[in-house]
Amino acid sequence: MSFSLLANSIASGLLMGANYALFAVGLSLVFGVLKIINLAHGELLLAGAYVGYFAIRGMGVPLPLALLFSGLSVGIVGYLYYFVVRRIRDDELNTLILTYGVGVILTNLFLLLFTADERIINIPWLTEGVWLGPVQVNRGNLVSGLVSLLIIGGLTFFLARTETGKMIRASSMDREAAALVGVDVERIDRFAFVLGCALAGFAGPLFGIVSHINPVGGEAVTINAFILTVLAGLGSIPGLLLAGIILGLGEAIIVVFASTMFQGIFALALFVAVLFLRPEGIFGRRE
Amino acid sequence: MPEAILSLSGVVAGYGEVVVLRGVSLSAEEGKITVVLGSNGSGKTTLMRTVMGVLPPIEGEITFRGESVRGLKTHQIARKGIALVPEGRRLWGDMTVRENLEMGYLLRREGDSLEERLEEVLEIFPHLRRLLRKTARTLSGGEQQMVAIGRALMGDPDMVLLDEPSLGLAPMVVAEVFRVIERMREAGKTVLLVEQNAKKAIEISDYVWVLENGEIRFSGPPEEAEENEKVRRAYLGL
Amino acid sequence: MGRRRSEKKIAGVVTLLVLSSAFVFRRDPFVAHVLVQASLLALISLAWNILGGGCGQISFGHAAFFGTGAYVSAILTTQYHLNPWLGIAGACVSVVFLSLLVGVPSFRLKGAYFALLILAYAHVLKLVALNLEITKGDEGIFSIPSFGRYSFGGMEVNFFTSKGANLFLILLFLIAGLWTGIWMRGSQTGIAMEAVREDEVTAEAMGIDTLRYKLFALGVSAFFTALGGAFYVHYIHFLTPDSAYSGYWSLMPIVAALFGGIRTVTGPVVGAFTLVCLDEFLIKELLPRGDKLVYGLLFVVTILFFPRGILGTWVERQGHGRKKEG
Ligand SMILES: Nc1ncnc2c1ncn2[C@@H]1O[C@H](COP(=O)(O)OP(=O)(O)O)[C@@H](O)[C@H]1O
Ligand SMILES: [Mg+2]
Repeated sequence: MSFSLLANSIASGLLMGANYALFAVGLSLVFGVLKIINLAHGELLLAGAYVGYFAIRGMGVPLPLALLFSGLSVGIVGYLYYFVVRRIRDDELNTLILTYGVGVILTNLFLLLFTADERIINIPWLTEGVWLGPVQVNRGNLVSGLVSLLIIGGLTFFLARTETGKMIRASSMDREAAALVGVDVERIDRFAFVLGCALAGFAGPLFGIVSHINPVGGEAVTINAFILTVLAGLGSIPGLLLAGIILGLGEAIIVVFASTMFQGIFALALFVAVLFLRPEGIFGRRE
Repeated sequence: MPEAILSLSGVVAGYGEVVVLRGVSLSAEEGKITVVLGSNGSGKTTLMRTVMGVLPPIEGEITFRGESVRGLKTHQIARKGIALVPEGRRLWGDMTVRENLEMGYLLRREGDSLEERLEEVLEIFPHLRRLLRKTARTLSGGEQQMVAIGRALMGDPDMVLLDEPSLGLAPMVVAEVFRVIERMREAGKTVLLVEQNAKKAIEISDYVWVLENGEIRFSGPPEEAEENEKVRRAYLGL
Repeated sequence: MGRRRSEKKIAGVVTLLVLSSAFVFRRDPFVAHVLVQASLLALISLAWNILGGGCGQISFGHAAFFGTGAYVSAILTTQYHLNPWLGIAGACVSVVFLSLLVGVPSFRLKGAYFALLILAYAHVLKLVALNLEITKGDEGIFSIPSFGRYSFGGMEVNFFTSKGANLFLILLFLIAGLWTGIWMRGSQTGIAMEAVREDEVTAEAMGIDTLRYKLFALGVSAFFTALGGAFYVHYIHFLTPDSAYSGYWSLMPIVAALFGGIRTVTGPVVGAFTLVCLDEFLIKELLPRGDKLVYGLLFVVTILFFPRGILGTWVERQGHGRKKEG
């Protein structure tokens, strides 16, 4: 095995890490604010991927527009979804089960509408390799990695600096205290939920560029998103980026030395290790 | 007779099936310090949370400036000009002191700008000025309590509710907290103070209520409270 | 107490009903096969619910236990030539051990960590089965032996040819599971598990060792799920990663339990029989391609509008009626 092969995998692992963080950010936001694990997160992301796929392949829509379009349409779905979730959100177990059921419905809708075929969004200029100094990466990976960084950065800024962002943070840390200073916490819940879904939708087409769109692949996306959320610590967006990089890099390096089986085992091992060592996450704090 | 700005009549409230307040009637006069005494578990915190709409009352009526606040959401009640300094302070630990204070400014209804409000609060708590950039969870208990009170004052409320603000603080800090409460009255604010530190609370109060087991057991001006056998024994340790 | 007694009565009626239907249809291969499927799902759903409804720990990945139980027994019987009964025993023991690997890391924490960790296990185990030598990768394992042939006096029981014989065997497992569930519920253990389900923090404050009871419920649940998985391979005779770790075994036990009523022990059994019969005789006819979609919708409608399920709602009505009379 050559040095350059390893260097290339490290580079693409880093880029994939940024992608992973973006694929997880919607779930993390919803979990942070509403304390709901949206088990349909992965399916919502796939819905965005399908929207992107048909927009780009079928209608020739340029990528940036397709991203916005996917985000918007899944955001609208999220808005309807929120009103279903709100009915029973006081019951934690039932809410968890409900979100799983919504995921099942979406998966089977995909199967019914789009068949079991795997698809990939392949835009010719994105499939070429580009040289970054000594390493070569796929341009699709580069573009989606950079877009992910941009969105994560934008979201971090939004949460840190804007009034709505601060209300979201306050509400996720202590809901009652937020209500006491006049924050309409139910509005914040709705906003965060819809934003979380829209972010999943937005990430969808990028997922379709770096990975296969498989109608039953939503669960795997949700699992990874949850692992990263736990690894990062509740509501920490920078932590999410670091966690994504740990996963992306780990997987990329493992694939060089071992089979894809160990790639799957790596995520699980990471999950178990976090549960044992630092359930409050890298950036979380022990209370 | 002066107006009661806040009044409760026959309020029953609790958690699920557990009834904590069993028909509480109580009022607070505008511009005065009203104190509610009660031992641990008597329902003081529940009372505060019910007034703020965190817990919906099962029965009874709560009015603020003559208007019913029953059924309103917490943020709507807060926006009427009532701020609660909750038990245990409940700052946002990952936010800076400045951010915590700025969040309190969300309650502003008109008038002062953020900087003006911040200046006024920092003038009350000069100690906080050099802590503004610190993360709230790194502060000492006393400092956190000042931020919590400061946050409530940022919105320039007409009425401030304080839930055991002296709990767990060093005597010097307790003295400062009580001074600040008296300053609130001087500034024309109405104060409803819940305390276990009965001696100090009675000293600065204009009217005293005693809550036991979710029911009002005594009410009267502070002189009467100091004379009352039960209050003396239970709260003043005499 | 009234509720517990009525639970026993319902379980008794259900036991008699399934046994007598088995007698009636034992020689009709098609109906017997449908009843085997229903009983198998009923067993897994019941097992799921001992943990889910009984202890409040929701598993979205029972396929991990089912599939591993199936593989262990398949491997032991085809590659180590053990007889199927030992295969089943091996499956149950190893899956209970596997369940500890899921439970110990996640149950120490409060929250939905278990629900997601087991989901992750189900995915990874399938991946492992696809890649290992011993599982024969994606080709799968073939010619897995049946439970064999026995004769008692003049009566011949052939598990290889008779669907009826298999039906009675899986019913035996189901009834064992059902009465274990009933017994657990009435015991101290069941009461402690219920306390954990209702409010873990309070249960802990009451001095209940919540980790222990969660692990116990998980172990029992894993045991019966492995039993079902091992039965399945000796009934179907072949196994692939897709069939072993199929999403069916994660999803349908939950649907059946919810539909029947997760607050009752017998509810999942009633739910499973109703669903499998509906599926065989109605849904597959009407909607050959979208039947899973129907389950998803049923699932969501149940949790939103009657979260107590059919049996749960019925038991509650009965209870109310009696209270009013009394
Ligand atoms: N979240 C809650 N759920 C159930 N019971 C509670 C809760 N909070 C307080 N209680 C009960 O309500 C009673 C009054 O509590 P509280 O209002 O906090 O009293 P105080 O503030 O006077 O010490 C106590 O018996 C307490 O156990
Ligand atoms: Mg209190």
